[in-house]
Amino acid sequence: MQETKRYIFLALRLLIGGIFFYAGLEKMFEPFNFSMAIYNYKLLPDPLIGVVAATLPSIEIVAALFLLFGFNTKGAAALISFLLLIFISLIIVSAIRGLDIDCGCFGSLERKVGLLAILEDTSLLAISMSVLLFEKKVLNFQELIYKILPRRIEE
Amino acid sequence: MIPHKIIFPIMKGSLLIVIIGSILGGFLNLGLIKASINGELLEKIKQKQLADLKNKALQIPFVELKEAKRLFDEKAAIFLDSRSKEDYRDSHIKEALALPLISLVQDRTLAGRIIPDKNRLYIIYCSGEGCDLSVELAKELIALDYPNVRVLGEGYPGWAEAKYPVEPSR
Repeated sequence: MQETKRYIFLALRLLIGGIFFYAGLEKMFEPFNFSMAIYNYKLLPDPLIGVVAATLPSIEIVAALFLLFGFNTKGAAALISFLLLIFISLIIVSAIRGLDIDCGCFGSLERKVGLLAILEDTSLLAISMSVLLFEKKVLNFQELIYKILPRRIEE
Repeated sequence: MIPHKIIFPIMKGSLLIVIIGSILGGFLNLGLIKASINGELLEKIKQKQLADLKNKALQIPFVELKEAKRLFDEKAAIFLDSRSKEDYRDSHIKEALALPLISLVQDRTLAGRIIPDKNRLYIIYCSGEGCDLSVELAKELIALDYPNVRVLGEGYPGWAEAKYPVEPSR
């Protein structure tokens, strides 16, 4: 039973890592379109639009790679949870303001701000939080390295 | 209460990702960051959105900002605000009439009451390049047999930015 749980959390970790890797990659290849999506929210000061458009996709990709390869998984899951909380708040605020805009969550994939986007991001938040709180070390490269290194030193 | 011993390593791990990601993103998109800081990016975004808006409504004629101002000065056109009543109340192009798209869709006789003269030139605007309320209102009015309808793509923000007259005046 315990073993099954471990593999469920491993699957969730790989799922959230895969989703964020794809989302980050989509935005990274279309930085101008992502800038436009950020501009549409009309919340950031204009000079910061490009800065966020340039760095956020890379941050998502690095966090996703950490999750996929099982390296610093708690830090990556915490960061992704934090990002999702910001995204959900932005979508709620924009929906309340009556903005009919694309949420920009998955680059070229169109998804309007609204209930569906909020539900999707909330589901992702639940997954990343479960990884943060309950994930145990399975297929974890960090552990693997720690296990191998001392042996080599002893040898 | 979660002990610091657990939180700090997690925060350190998150910070490490932010630093690596920021360096990588900054390095790959240095041009974008520069363009953003010197204002070129914003100009490009507005141009792209205006082009997209025009492409979305090829059959709707647009009017340039300067041309709209000339028509305003000569009182040769009536300006129509297609945004919500709240936005109109907050501020609008001077002497523009409020004709929110949503109100017209709910009651099509509204057009006849607010703009009875079908032969006048009407310039419709909304919240700028990213907004298509003006285009949709133009389509509605054309369907209601108003032949002289134009859309001001830059919308209220473009008009206000150019320091053209608005009311309540700011």
